[in-house]
Amino acid sequence: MQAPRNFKNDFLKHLLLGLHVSRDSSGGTMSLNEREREIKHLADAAMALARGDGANWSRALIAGLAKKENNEAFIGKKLCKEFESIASPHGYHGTSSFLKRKMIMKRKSFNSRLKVKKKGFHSPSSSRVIPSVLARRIVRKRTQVLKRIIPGAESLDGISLLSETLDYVVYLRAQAKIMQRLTRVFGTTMSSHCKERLDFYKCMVANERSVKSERFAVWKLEMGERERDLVVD
Amino acid sequence: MSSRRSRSSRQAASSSRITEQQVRELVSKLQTLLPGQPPLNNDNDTASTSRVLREACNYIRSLHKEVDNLSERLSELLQNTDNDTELEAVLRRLLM
Repeated sequence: MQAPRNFKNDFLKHLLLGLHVSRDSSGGTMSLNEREREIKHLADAAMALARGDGANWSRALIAGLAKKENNEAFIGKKLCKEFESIASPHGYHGTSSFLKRKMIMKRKSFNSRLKVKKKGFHSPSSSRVIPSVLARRIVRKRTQVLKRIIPGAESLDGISLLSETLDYVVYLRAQAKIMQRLTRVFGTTMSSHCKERLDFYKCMVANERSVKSERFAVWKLEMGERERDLVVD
Repeated sequence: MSSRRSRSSRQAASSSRITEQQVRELVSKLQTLLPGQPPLNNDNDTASTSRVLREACNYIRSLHKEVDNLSERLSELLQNTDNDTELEAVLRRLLM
């Protein structure tokens, strides 16, 4: 399963714009660690914005990041706008106290049911746990871990958690792959290998070709000229 | 009365069957996404589910780490480019 092409484009666009804008505004006053964290936030914001309203994790990410980002940053502004649109009506499943209480009630009832079942099967001498019960406990533990690492999944349950995991893995993979390509392009730009960069840009733009064919033609021409200059240099 | 009871129990059974099937489908889809999984698993559902969940957790964590590393690398690279105006101009044209 692959992330759709328009997601990849949107993600790249958001990320590049954010990098560009943040580089201008920061002016080299950040430490490397701060810069790294900022880029990570940018990448997550870009991923969530590109995914949009369609998944719980993206809505949760947008809401979370919008609260953190200061409003001057470009991405911060975009996030706030996006956050306002999702803040109502159905918003996202997060850890509101009401939902927490609901979950605790659910867990209590589940545990009490489990205990009742154990009583029925237990022989008085052995302290063995029935394998099926153990397996269910393991599954429960693993779903809890999953809820912690997927943003906004704390209050999801059962099937919605599984489908959310599926969705998240697909888009997370796409994020990692695109960022890999980006670092490669920037890296090779350092060593002034122009061809790979040119191919990368062509690939990026070709996806928009169907809509903006004229602009692509103009761009291609200009790009060609620019590349020729660079080669001469 | 007995028919009502049996109907309700049948309904409950059928709905739980539907959900179980959905769960199995989702778990198998998840399994295809994860790297390095055996293609066929005939073990019982709960064990394979827990395995797939564990692999999913590990995979998501490794992807997070990869994104962290890539952010670090990007921050280094971007710091080293001093006014790559070529790149910026092209990007601007590309994105506007």
